[in-house]
Amino acid sequence: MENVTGMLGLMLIVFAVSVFALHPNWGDLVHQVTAPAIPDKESAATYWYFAIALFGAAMTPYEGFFFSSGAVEEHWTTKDLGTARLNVIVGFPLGGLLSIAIAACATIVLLPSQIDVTSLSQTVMPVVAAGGKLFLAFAIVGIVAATFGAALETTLSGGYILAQFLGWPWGKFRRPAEAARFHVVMIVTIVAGAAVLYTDVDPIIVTEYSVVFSAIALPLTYLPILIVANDSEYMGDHTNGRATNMFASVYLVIILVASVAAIPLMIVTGAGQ
Amino acid sequence: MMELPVIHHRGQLVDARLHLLDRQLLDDEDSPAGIVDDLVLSGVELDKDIPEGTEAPQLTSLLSGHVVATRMFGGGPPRSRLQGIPRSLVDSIHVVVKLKPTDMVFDAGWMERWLCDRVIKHIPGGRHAAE
Repeated sequence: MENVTGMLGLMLIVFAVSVFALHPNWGDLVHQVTAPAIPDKESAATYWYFAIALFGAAMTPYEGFFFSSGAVEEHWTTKDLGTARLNVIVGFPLGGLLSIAIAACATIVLLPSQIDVTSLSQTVMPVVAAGGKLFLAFAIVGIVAATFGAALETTLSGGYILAQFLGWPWGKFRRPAEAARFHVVMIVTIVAGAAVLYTDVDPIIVTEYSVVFSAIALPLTYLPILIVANDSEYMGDHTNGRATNMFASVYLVIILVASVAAIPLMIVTGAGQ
Repeated sequence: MMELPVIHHRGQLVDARLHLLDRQLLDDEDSPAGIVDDLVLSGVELDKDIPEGTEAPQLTSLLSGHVVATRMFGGGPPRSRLQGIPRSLVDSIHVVVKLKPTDMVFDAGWMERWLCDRVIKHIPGGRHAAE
């Protein structure tokens, strides 16, 4: 199931294709990346607030639970380390690249017309401009797969986190009747998520808040993983070496800064408004 | 730097707080049977001094049960709410605590059974084998 959504999600590559199809002024685009211009009505704080939001969106804490639990469910051993590394080394940069492509599309088409993106459907406008109906069809399939996949991921993660913390039987490899509480948690999560949608709250605002809060919570998942990675009882021959720990510590500082800065920035900028 | 004394011992040195408490309990089929929530030690009585020369207390059983609420709000559940797992049932203590094959039924709690009987079993596919 996750593979289907993952494969269909690859259709989002159409955003990257669109960037080229739109024939942008590359020099201009590069200049905007290297010397970002902050609009007059926004402050540098707003810029950094959204930077943290993007950071939180890329590194949501639940992903750690999702991927590690999936590895347990599929009975991974050290032989699967290669697959795990491939996920990280290919998968994450690919996701990042697609995010950049979506941002670039918006910059090329929407920004010059002063169009403020307020709904998901607006993000596909550049794709339509680049490749018409065919590109739009790809984008729709990709977006449905990506959002559906993300919904699966977050729902499962909710179940994994609670069940593992409390010692309940869990996992997709058990009959639902053998892991009743785990499955009930997932049902409740889906119902609660749908209930939030049915209130008149703006889904984009909900997303913004949730990614900022994931940036705030990030050290709470990153640090324990770093500690376990240094515990030879868990890791055996694969315990973190000095070089890994050095990079990991640098990263820990970045995560801490983002986490500590998130709430003050949220207050100062009125949550980016 | 001060050298820490090296204590020689037979077998595996286990730190109760580090290696036992909060560890996942797995039965012999690797299914979660609970979390180690508390320990029962022999020869220790609450609030009483231990006279010198007494034999070292021994771990008699692990306790498992619902402790989240009392952990958040203080106190502890009454002993009757925790299931005792005799030490002899412990197969190994590693990153998880594995138990030996046993006829003992691990009390997954009324909530698991109730949700299973009243909710999950009635959902189409609820009793289907997993992928």
